Amino acid sequence: MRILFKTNYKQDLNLAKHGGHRFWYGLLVLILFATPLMLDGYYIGEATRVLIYAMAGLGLMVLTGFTGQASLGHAAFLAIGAYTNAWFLAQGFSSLVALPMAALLSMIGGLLVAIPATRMSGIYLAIATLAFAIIVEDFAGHLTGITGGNRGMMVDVPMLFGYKIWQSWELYLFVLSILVVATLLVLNILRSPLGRAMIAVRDSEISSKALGVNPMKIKVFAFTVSAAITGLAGAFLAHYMLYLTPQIFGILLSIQLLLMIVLGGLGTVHGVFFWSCIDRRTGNWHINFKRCPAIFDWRFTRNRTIHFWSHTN
Amino acid sequence: MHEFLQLLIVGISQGCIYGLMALGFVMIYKATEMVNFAQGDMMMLGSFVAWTLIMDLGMPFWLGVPATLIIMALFGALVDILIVRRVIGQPQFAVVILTLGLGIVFRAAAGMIWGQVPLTIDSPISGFSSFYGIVIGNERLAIIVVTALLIVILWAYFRYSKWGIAMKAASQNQLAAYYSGIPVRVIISAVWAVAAAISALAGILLAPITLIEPMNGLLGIKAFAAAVIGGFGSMPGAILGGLIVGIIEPFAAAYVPGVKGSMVYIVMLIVLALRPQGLFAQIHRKKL
Repeated sequence: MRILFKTNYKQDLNLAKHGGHRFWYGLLVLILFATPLMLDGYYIGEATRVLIYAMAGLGLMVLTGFTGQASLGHAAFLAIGAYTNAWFLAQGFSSLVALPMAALLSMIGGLLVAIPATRMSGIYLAIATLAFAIIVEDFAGHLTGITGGNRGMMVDVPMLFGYKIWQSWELYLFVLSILVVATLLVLNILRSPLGRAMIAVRDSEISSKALGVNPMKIKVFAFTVSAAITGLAGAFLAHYMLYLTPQIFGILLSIQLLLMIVLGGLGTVHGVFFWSCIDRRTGNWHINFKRCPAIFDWRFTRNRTIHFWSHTN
Repeated sequence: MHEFLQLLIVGISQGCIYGLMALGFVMIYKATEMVNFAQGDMMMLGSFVAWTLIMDLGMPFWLGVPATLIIMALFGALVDILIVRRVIGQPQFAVVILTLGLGIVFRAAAGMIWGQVPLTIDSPISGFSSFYGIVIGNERLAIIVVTALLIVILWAYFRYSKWGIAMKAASQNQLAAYYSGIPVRVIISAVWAVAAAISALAGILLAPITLIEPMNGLLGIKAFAAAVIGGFGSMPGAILGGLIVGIIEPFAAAYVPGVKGSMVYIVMLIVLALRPQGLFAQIHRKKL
C-alpha cells in the first residue's frame, strides 16, 4: 500500500492522488486514443457504442449515484438529444450547433422533470420519471414533422468546420474526446462544494439541510447536468444508430441504463465505465441472454448498492 | 351516446385486466412494502403456462385454467422464498432493481422456452353479445364477469377466512401479527402466491384478445399506473384505478388520438402531483 504524505490541504482536492494515478490514467487515455490504429472497423464501432453508453451512464450516475434520485426515464433524455441533434443536422447546421442544442434541449427537459420530481422520493420518483419517458417516446412517434414519426428518420453524419465525419474511427475519436471532457466535468463537479452537497443530499436530506444545503436546488441542478450529459450521449447514439425510431428509446433502454450503473456500483465513476464494457460484451452471446446477467450478478454488487443506498432511507 | 357506451364497455373490460394486475401489485406492496416490477411478466408467464397446458398438452380448457393458477401460485411463492425474501428490510431501491431484473429474466426465459412467435389459446368463449345495440365480444364480457366474481371472492376471503384476516394483520403490522402467532413468513409467501395467481388469471383472460408473447409483460407498466392512480395501499383503489386507466385509453384513442399512448401517464402524473397518495387512498398511509 502506498502511503500518501500530504503537506497541503489542496492535495485532497487533486484529481490524481499520486504520480501512479497520473501515469496509469494518462496511459489509459493514450491507449484509448490510439485504439483506431490497432482495431478494425467492427470493433471500433463496438467501442464507440461502449463509449456512448458510458456517457449516458455517466449522466445517470450524476443523478442516481451521486444525488440519490432514482430515474427510470433516462431514455427520454437520450431521445431528446438524439432527435435534436438529427434535426439540426438535417437543417444544415454543423455539429458545433447541433450538439450544444441537443444538450441544451435535454437540459430544459431535465428542468421540466426536476421541478415536480424534487417533491417526490423513492418509488414515486421512479414512477414519475418512467411516465415521462413513455410520454416522450409517444410524442416522438406523433411529431411527424420533426422526428419522422414511427417511420423513423435518417441521421446525417456529424459535421465539424465543414468537414463531414464519415469514418467509424473518426466518430470514435469524436465521442472519446467529448466523453473525456464530460468525465472531467463530472469529476470536477464532484470535488467542488456543489458535488459535496449532492452527496450530502443523497446520504441524508435532513442532515444536508441542517448544514445549510438547499436539497431542492441541488436536485434540480443534478437533474439538469444529468440530462445534459445524457442528451449529448443521445446525440452520439443517433450517429451510431444512423436511423432513429421512437422504439429505440423505450422503457427497456431506461432499465438497461439503470441496471448498468447499479451493477457497476452506484456512486462510482469507475463503475459506469466498467459495466458499460461488460454490458456490450455479454450482449453478443445470444440475444435472449442479453440482459440475463443482470440478475445473477446482482448479488455480486449488492453490498455496494446497499452501502450507498442504506443512507438514503 | 351509443358510441360513448360502446367505448365505455370496451374500456371497462380492458380496465378489469389492469385492475387485476394492479391488485397483485397492491397486495404485495401492502404485505411487504415492496413494489414488484415483475408483476406484468408474471401475467405473461401465466398465459404461457396456460398455453402449454391447454394447447400443447391438450388439457381441457376448464381443467387447464385452475391448473395454471395452481402452478403460477406455486411459482409466486417460490419467487418469494428463493429470491425476494432475502431483500426484506433492504432499501427500497434494491427491491426495485431486483424485481426489474426478475422481470427481464422472466421475459428472456419465456423467449427461450416459448419463442418470440405470438401464440393463441382456443377459448371456449367466442362470438358477440349485444344489448340495446351495444355490441361486445363474449371474451370481453367474460373478463368483466370473472373480475366481478373474483372481487367478491377476494372480499369474502379477506373478510371471513382465517388466512385472509391473517394477511390483513400481517400487512398492517408485521411485528404485532407475529406476536399474535401468525406465521408472517408463510403469510407473505402466500400473498405472493395469490398475487401471482391473480395476474395469471389476468393473463388467461387477456389471451383470447391479444396474442401471447414475451413482450406482454410490459402491460404491467399500465397496471402500475393504475395502482398509482388508485392509491398504492388500497385494494379497491387498485381495481378502480385499473378501470380508470382502461376507460381513459379507448376514449383518448377516439377523441384525442394525438395522445392516446401517453394520456394514461399524463393522468398519472397529474394525480401524483396533486394527490400523491392516490385517489382512493385509505386513511392508514404507509410511509414512503
